[in-house]
Amino acid sequence: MCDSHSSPKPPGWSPELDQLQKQLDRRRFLSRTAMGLGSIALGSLMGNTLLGKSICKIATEDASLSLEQEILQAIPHLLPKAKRVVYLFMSGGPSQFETFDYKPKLLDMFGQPLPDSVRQGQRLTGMSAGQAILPVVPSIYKFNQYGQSNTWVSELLPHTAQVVDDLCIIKSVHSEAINHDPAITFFQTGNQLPGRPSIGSWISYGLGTDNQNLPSFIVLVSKNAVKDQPLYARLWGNGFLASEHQGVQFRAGKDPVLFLDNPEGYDGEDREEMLQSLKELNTYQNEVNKDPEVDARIAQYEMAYRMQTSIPDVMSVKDEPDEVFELYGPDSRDSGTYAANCILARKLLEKDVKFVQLYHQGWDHHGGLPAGMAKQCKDTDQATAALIKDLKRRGLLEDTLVIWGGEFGRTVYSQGKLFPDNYGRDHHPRNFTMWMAGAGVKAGFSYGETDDFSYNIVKDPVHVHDFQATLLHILGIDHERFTYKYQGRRFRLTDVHGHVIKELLS
Amino acid sequence: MLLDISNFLGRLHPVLVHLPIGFLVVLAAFDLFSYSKRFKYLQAVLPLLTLFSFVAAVLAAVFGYLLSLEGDYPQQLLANHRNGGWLLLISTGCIAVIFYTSLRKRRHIPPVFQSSGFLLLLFLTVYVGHQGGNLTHGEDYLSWDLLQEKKRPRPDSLSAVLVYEDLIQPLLIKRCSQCHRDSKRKGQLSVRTIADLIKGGKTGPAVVPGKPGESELMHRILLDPSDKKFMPTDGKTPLTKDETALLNWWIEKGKAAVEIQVGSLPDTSKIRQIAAVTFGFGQTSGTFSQAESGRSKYTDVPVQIDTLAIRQLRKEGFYVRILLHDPVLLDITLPPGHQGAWLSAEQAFGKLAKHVLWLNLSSSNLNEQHLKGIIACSNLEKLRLDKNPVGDSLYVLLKPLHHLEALNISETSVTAAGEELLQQLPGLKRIYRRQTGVRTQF
Repeated sequence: MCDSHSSPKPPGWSPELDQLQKQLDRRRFLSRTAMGLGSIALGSLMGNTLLGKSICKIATEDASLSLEQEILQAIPHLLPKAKRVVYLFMSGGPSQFETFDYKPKLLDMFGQPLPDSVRQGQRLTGMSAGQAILPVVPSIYKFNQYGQSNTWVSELLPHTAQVVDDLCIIKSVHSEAINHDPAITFFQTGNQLPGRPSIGSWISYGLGTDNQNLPSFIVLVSKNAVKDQPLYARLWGNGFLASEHQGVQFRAGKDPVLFLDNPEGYDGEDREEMLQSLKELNTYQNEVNKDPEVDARIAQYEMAYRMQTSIPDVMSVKDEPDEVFELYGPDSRDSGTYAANCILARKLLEKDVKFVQLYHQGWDHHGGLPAGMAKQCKDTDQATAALIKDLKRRGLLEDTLVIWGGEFGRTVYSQGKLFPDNYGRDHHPRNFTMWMAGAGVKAGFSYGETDDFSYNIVKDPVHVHDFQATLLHILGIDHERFTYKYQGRRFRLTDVHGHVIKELLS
Repeated sequence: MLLDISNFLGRLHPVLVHLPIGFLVVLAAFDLFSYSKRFKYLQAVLPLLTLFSFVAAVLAAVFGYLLSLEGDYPQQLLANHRNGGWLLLISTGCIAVIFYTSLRKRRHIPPVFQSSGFLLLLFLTVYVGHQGGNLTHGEDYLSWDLLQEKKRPRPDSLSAVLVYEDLIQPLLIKRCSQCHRDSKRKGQLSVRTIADLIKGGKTGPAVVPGKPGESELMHRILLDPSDKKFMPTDGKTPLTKDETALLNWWIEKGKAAVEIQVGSLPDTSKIRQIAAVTFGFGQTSGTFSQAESGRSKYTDVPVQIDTLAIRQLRKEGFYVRILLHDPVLLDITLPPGHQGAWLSAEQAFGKLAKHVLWLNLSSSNLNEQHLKGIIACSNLEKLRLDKNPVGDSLYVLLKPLHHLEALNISETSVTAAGEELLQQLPGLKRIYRRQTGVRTQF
């Protein structure tokens, strides 16, 4: 410390940083000496005077052990039904009234105030809590029964209605959060506050990858949606898991994955060599401070390099026949739309990407709901149904699970003024509708019941954590035993909650 | 406060006793040495050493008395130690007095008397020391039985594991014998031998062979942990589910007998599981029910999997994913266009055939001739052969696969007639045969 008083300080010198560096050095010194002594002892135990050689031996033995460890390790805890998931996230909170939860009795109650016996004093958002009257509003759109299962589906979803016998519809999902950000964070990470890993990251961490040339968790966001509510990259973030498990967003246009292409003016000829040297440096660094993030960084560089060749191939739809574009609808030729993303999702699933998540925003209809819902459904209905048909005919629905749903539902009463042909609906977390389809779930099946106002669940509630537990179960994971220890606590996707809903399983 | 000090000093007793022990041993040794001419001068220090020994013995005795006030010791053992201690103390005192009187009166003590006196002291020291050791470490810590006991070697395979000897007895010793041992017998129970268990304690037999419901041991460990009678008591870690299951099985199915081999009686999958985990013999983890359900459904899957074969497949480029651990079931995918890899891995694949549950061989230009190997996949449930030059004779190949549920033959040469034939496969539920946009689905 003495010389720091006398000698001139470099720019940016701060006493705190200086102190920190000194501590770090001391700690590193101690850990390195301890390790050094340990390896010397080990070397002599193994009767090998060449220290480097003995360490090499241990390292290779480790690598060959990993298969036995893999066989012994706990995951999958049970026989999986699905090996891939595509999650169609309808961000904003689609109304259950205009889609799947048919409530004919409301037709006679148009404009009448919501009975207190139904609301039971439950909280409302600040947006409608001040309303003098909460007028009941039925769906302006008609419902019909479809398929062998005679399932009621709204006229807004004519294509989904065609595949209704493949769906496992859950009408009794309920959440704890009443506003977008906590509700969507809760759905994606099991916690309303940001910071935990997303479902896809958990699955990537637990099950690894089946295609080494693509990330195991890929995110696609529709460009053709009303972006009234924001989406944050942390929704597909890895939280405290190693960063190679974060969702990788693929975009429409010239650069599907940002920063993946070689810079302009660089032909990339010595790219592999450069990465090799970089890896050596990183490996050296890793030997020094053993930071798991260095491993993640090495893995990501290698993945990025492989993706430089795999991405153009997977993003290109020019080999798709016209019939495919016809199936997914007119939007599907315009890359970045929901329909185009659905084709892309199918291609990624074909390549055994483990978890593909689509986001389609714009379902937040506080006002102008009839027109808004019509637009949203038109943008998504055909492609959603096409994805199911396409997966099914290719035999991929055999081991792929499709999920459709938002972060909450909407209220039975109109937010704002009620007109015969126009109304809005506020957020409603107490019950809403989702569906799953494909591997592991019953087909042509409806689960859960709501009251005549679709305001409360009367039978078979499914909490967000129950949904997450069931999803993991279908992938062969026992949600109660699937933990990651971070800062002294073992975290779970379902926290300390969640029950597998056995009735949904095929 | 005073009590605290006396407690504290009392606990110094085990340290302090070594002082008189040391003196007394040196005393005897010096006496022995002094028979030699070279060490005759040692005679001169013997009286002083005896005096030191006495003073040290007094101190040790006082501290020992303080320790005995804490009262955590079995009465009989304590009495032995205390009486022996008194005897040693008095003897040392007597010898010291004799020494000093004879010194003063310039009377010579015959060496034989002197030596036998010291020998007596030495003998007493060993005796009292052993009694003291019994108090702190337990009677069986250093005993004749221990010397004769043969330690069972660690079993080297799952079939060598004996239920009582390798699992139950170590469990009882680890979890119960701190209190229920021969020397302590809380509630008059000892768990040392099966006879002890059957004899039981104050509340009756701890173990009734064949009847876990009537066994007090089971009753106690299954009580609510907050119950006063719950065992292990005093907030010690309760027995785990596995341990409880193990005891229950041993009493009920094993009739609380010795030398039962794991696997020699019916319904031992749980026990095998626990034994395998205990001794680290592979292929098991997870809870029983799941393992059992897997085992009962896939009965002909070998217990051991050939890991070399898995490694070889991976080296050839296959994706080999583990679907289940007990039994080991696999999901194997051959990346498109890897016909060569399939052919060169044929032998390795054959070794894994019974483990394969899902198999994806799409787009690798394979015909029926190449695919002979899949006949051995008797547990196969899902098979993808799409985009391969296979035809209607596929039926012959797949006929033995009774568990095949889903088959993908899109873009193959299988005709409609061939598909009809395939539908007669006994287990087949779903068949996918899409030819450029035409869908056939059942």
